[in-house]
Amino acid sequence: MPGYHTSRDFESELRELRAHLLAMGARCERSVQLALKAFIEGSAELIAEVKSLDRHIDRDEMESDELALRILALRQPVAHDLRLLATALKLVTDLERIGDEAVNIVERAEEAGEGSKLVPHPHLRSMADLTQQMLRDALDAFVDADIVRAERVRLGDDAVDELYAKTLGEMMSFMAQNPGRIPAAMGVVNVAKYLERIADHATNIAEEVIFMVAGHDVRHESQRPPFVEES
Amino acid sequence: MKLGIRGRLFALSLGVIAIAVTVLNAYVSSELRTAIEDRMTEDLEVRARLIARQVEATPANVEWQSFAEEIGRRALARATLVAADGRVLGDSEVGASEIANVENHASRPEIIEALKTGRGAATRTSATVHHDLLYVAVRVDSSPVRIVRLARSLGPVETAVTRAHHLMWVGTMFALAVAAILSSVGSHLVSQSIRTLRTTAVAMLDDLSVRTRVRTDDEVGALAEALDSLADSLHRTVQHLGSERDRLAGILETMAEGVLLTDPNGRIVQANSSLRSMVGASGQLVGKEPIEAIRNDELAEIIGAVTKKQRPVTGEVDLIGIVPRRVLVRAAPLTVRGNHGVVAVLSDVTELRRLESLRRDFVANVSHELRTPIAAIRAAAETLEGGAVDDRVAARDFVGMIARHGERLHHLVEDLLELSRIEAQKLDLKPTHIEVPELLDHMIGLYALSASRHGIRLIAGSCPRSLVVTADRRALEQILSNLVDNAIKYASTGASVTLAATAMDREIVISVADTGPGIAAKHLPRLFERFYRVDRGRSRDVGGTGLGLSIVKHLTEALGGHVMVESWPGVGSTFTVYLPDKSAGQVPAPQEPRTEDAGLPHQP
Repeated sequence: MPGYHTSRDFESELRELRAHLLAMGARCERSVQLALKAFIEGSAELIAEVKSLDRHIDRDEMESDELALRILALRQPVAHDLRLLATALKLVTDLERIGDEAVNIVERAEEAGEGSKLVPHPHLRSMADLTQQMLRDALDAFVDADIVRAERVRLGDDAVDELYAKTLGEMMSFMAQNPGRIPAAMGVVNVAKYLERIADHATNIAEEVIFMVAGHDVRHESQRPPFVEES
Repeated sequence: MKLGIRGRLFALSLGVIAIAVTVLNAYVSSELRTAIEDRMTEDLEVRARLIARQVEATPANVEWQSFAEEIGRRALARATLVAADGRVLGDSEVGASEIANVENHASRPEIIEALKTGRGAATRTSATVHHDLLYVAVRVDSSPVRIVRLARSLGPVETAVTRAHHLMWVGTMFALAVAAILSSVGSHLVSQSIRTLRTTAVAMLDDLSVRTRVRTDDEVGALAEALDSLADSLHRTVQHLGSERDRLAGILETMAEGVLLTDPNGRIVQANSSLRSMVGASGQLVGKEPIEAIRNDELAEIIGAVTKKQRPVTGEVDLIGIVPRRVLVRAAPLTVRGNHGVVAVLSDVTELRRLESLRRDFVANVSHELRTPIAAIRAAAETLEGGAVDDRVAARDFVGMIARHGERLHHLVEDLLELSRIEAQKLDLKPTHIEVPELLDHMIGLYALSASRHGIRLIAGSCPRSLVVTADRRALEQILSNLVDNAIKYASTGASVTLAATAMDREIVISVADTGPGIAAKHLPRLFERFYRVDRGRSRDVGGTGLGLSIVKHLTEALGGHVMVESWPGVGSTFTVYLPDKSAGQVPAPQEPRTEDAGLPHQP
């Protein structure tokens, strides 16, 4: 954190908010990992744990929001601190969604039961690994205020999209050949979709980190006309 | 203005010299003047008295003016003869014509004094001459001349005093110059040694082995010695602390446990390499908060709880990452010089927890496996006891049941013993050259009857005619027996079991493939575990102990090979035994047990 604040309270409030966000992020990472494990192994214990983690993440969202709003109202921060708070407010939304996606994954695991094991999904594993790596990198970028790493997360998004397309294609032809296993294959397709969304949220987090550190907005860059100054 | 020791010493000595010289000057000039004047007064008085005696002896009618001129010349002074009424009778410096016009001298202080006491003296500026004159008057008793007065100029006195002054000033200047040089040299010597000490002390900041090397008996020498012994003691302390620190750091670094230390602000101040590898940290840990450095909410909560309650907290945490780990965290408050921090020790219990669960499963499985036949035997025995023993037909059934379950118990215990023998590596293996085609034929012969009873075709697959494997025959036969027996038991009627062998890349590969129902992928990783059963009911129906594949795995490893399984649900399973080909000359090193699943087929 650059510089120090005259008020010790303000300083410790910001630190508390950061710690809160990071704990929430850690829960999301764990939740995604456990959910994928649950989908592959079909363990009821893991499913229950992911659901309980999601309730915790929802609580985290409310607490972080409240903390951020209180700091905004009481301290009227400027510059870097203001950007940190704005980022925090957006970050919690993305993290909360990631928690929800993890729950979606375990719901598919519940439906599929043993069935998902009868469907070959060669690209789902690498998609899961890549998505988790993106989430980890996005949160690391937040911790270290590391723009380079945040940019790397943004690059990963395309690779995930590609893997999603591949998985989708494979499942289509699998379903065509094995009509009996369409429900299980649909489960795999859905999980791939959830992973793709988690990767999108990780990308959002990375973009928010870039905004927090550098102060410029990199969202929807391709849609903007070139050489137009932002007001 | 700030002056160094040198400047101050110099200024002080100059001041002292200046004051001394000034006082001396004043004293000497006043003393000199007084002394000379006293001498002159005395001298004039003596002369005046001699003249007075001459005046007494002179008749009263003498011409006093010429007398005065005469004695004035002889006494080398102005001589004045004054009558009792103050009239001037003669004066050596006044002409004879003017003597009558000289004013009355009765009011002159020296004359008043001389008339009263016999002698008088006074100093005054003469109206005629410009410098001070000294007048000395003496009374004459028996003559018309009552007073003889002599006067001399004080000019020579002033000259003498001025000369003395000049001499003093020259001396003073000389003394000051000498003092300046001496004090400068002296203070230079002192301040130079002090500067040397200072330079040495500054050098000691970086290098404690530097010494002053000043060896004198004065105060500077004592200071230097004190400085040197201070450096000695500091050097020793630093070395001691350094080796202490190195020792502790060495212990910390070699520990298998991860150690984490935080300061009162909750930031990490120390982390050892075990911790770094455990959490897969790549960047800097020191200076960050635990949640930043190791993004794990449970760990952060434990450390937070210790900070809040100020007492030890223990918990187990799952560290996610490329290699997920289960870690036991013991965290406790740590107070270092009044600073409250937290020390957390992380031990990797991943393997421990896995073994614990294996043991738990094993005990549960063994008891379960033993209980079933025992319960059947007990039930049969109780039924017999309750009267069935008299019914010959029923009795035969129950005795048969007891024998069958007794047999199963026997197999179970035999298998367990076999397994523990293999695990304890107490097998007596005698490697011999075995012709593989002959071995496969032998196995097919052994199981031909059993296979035909189950409606299963037992087929000899492809096998190079001269294929030879070097292994313990009994062990290899048991491996194949277990695999073929399993295949026959679990494959459904109409299926086929194929035994084939080949030589491949320094390994002899023997496979037992069936066209049975196949095994779901999730079972494959655990298939070779003891008592692991894909379908418990079916396994027991066909009389399995749940130990067969476990024995296969352990025996194959004892022979220096490994076993793998591939299975496609609905298509069939293939168990493949890989044994080192010792005839190829080079014996591959015993490999890590490989029992991973071969993955799912791309196209069933």
